[in-house]
Amino acid sequence: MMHFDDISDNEIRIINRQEAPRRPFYRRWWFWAAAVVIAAVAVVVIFGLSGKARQTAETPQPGEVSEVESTPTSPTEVVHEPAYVISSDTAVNDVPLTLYTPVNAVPELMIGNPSEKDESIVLAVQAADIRADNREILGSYVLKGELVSRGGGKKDGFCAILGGDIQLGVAENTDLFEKAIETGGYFFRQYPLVSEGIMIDNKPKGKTLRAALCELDGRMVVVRSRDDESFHDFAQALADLGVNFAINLVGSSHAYGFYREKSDDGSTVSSSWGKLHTGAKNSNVNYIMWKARD
Amino acid sequence: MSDSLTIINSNELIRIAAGSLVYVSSSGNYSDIYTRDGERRTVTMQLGMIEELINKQLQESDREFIRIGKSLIVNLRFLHYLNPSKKQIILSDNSTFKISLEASKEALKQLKDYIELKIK
Repeated sequence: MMHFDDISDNEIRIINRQEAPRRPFYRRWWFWAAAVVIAAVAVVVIFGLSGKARQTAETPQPGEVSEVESTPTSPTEVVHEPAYVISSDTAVNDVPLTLYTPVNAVPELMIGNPSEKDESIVLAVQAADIRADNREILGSYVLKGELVSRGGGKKDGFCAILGGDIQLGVAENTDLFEKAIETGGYFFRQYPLVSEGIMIDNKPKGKTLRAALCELDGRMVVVRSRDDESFHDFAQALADLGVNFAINLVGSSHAYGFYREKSDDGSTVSSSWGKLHTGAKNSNVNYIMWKARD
Repeated sequence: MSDSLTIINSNELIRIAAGSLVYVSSSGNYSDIYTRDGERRTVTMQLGMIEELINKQLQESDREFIRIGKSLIVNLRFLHYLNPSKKQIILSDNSTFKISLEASKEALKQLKDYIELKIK
């Protein structure tokens, strides 16, 4: 079994023709699989025996009436945990940020404006930019497997949503674009802000409210600046926050979005920012949004 | 065995002469391949897969590559400068390019020891 990724940052490996490094047995999958099976068998045996003993002790004697409780079950019914967003404020390098973490929700893209009244949507943020000249979406864009826009722009950052999982990256060409088309997924392009924990500088220098889609500690998080920031300061703040990958989302005070938090009584309450973009010239306004599971 | 590395995915085929491959860096599920002519190519492959291809495809005489930590594979023939305490490694052909990269102090110390041992 080859394990070419089995290396730490503090190690080197000479690449020569030899058997690939072998993991110690306790780092091999079969060791843990066997351990789990053995543990499961042990649990079944122990509980089986004790259950049998208890059953023997509780077996009604002739003439006694046994009470049997039964709970109606519905094996086909799947109940999902309610979806909501956890928002939290922080500041990094004097850049005030708000983090929005969707919980029990799946991401997708949409073109057009989402309705804040739709309680299944727990977070919606404008995703890809719109070209000023023809009002088309800038860069490649795939909506549920359908190619909406291809190429254009110089934005190497991308977000692919395949099977409900978001993958962020920085690349001129990526197979994930084709995969999104083949598998009914989603794809859009944006400025990259952070790659492998390193901040990426972008040309636009102006200051405005910024937003980003980030991979932070293995979770997908939307981060918004609460003040006007330059690309540089915003990206640096994200990198210093510990973000692994981040791409830009549509910012400025005009960008619209909303999120739904849990209230004290267990229901959810929505809050929004910016203003809705309506009219024919905004027909391609688009969002990344997280919805409760069906 | 070949003197060039061939990378094939669903869309493209890339062939790079072993002597032109300067280094490969990891970018999550992607790898960026840097060649002597200053080109950078991004492929949808993790660095471990590139290492495996180098191991399988290149002749031993062309195989002077070293994996440094999780993020780098460098061609030792372009190693120009190494300073573990500065966590710096510079790759150069001493004429057309000079690339400075960062790696962990411990990994670079091991690399320095390896090269010292090799030339003794």
